[in-house]
Amino acid sequence: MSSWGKWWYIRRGTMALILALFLLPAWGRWSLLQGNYSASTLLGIIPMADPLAAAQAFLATGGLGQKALIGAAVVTVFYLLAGGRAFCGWVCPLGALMDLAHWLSGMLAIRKPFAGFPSVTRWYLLASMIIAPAISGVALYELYNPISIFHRTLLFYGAGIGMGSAMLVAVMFLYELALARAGWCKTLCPLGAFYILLGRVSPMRVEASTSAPAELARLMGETCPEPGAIAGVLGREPFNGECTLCGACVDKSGGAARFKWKLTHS
Amino acid sequence: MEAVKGESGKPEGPSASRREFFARGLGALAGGVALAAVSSGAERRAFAQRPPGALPEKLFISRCVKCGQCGRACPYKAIQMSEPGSGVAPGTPYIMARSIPCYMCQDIPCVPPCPSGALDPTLTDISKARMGLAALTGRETCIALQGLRCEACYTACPIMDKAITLETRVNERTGRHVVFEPVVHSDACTGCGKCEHACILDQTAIRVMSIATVKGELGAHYRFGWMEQGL
Repeated sequence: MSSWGKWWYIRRGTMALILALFLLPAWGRWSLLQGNYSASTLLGIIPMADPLAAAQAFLATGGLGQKALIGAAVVTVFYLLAGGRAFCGWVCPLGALMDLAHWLSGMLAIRKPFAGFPSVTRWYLLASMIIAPAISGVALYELYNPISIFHRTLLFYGAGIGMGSAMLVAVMFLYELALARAGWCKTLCPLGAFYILLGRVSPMRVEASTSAPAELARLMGETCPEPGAIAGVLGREPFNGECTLCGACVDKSGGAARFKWKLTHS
Repeated sequence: MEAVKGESGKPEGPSASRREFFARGLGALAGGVALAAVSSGAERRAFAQRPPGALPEKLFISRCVKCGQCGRACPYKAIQMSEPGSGVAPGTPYIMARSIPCYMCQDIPCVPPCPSGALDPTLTDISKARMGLAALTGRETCIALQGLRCEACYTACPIMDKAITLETRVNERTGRHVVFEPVVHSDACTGCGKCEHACILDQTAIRVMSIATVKGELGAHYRFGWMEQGL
């Protein structure tokens, strides 16, 4: 599934760089990027916040600090411009871990017994995590959000975070490695679902020329890690936002597909 | 990654029919109500000492976006992030005073980085912080109460002679010595936990707990005439 072309290296490099920037303050080095993927401060001034985490806190408590509000707007606008699920492909370290699990299960030829939840599940989860805090006044999901738990384990291990979180991460990894063919990112992740929505209206997309020969299109479809995305990229179906802009098909396409930023996509 | 496409059920996105749309909405609503029912019962019982300026516990848990910036700002690494199963709401910052208490920095570096307002940005005077309230719970183990000289908690207290005072009385056992009893005063105690940290016992005899737990609450119908007269 994964092609190790140019874009793969650029994409993983970007992800590693962001992770390193987050980790530096933990090692007592420069705090260019302080916080974690839920909320952070870039260069000491620019606030960033996970729009869903911010929304839950706001809906549950009827208020939110200015920095979190601005931060959520900053992140939303950024991914509106950069392509919604670019977060999944380029930034989210849980996505990378899940990719690793899939790659490993392929290498080890593991037969997974479970097809995975239907991919509409993420929409139920997204809707519930907006509705529930508003009704109950408790942002429950954010306490057990697997993405947040993984990010905390990466960035705050030793600072209160320990084996308990690591075990949860291991469970997620095993789910992807040996149980579900379509795992967390493809069927369950509500944050991914939110970014799908942004991706649908984003000017940034991967587009392939509609005249791509069938053989090439098949090759691109095989390399695409998001089964629901490639038809939209090839222009055979309406673009559905599930593309993570990973660029795997761009690497394989020999120029037929490329990243394209334009305000109106055909 | 072979084709998983068919399994997800095709009708998704803008092409979904109206009936599916409503079914989906009902499902989401049901999920939301279920999650709400679970979460309203998710109030914590145990006490967690929060960083300075923290909102009331229930509000704090939901307002906090669990980013850890308060903890990174703490020069003493007193603020930790909790993990699932620890008894403290996962991801929220807390202080284990017995290990590292709050040192009550004058500039309160942990509060300004908080993006959500879970730590109240209007807190600028650290002596106004109320992270909890210390209580001498180990009255049978506190060596000062047994008539020995200790004063470890008293001397550790950053608000000396206001938050903890030493009350003296005759040692009834010997009849010629003095017992120095450390007494905590809620009008000055910030709940920083330095007393809890300083206690020389194997298990601390003085510890920070929630203000409501320590203080209790007087019924509104009680009238203290001498207070009303300002005596």
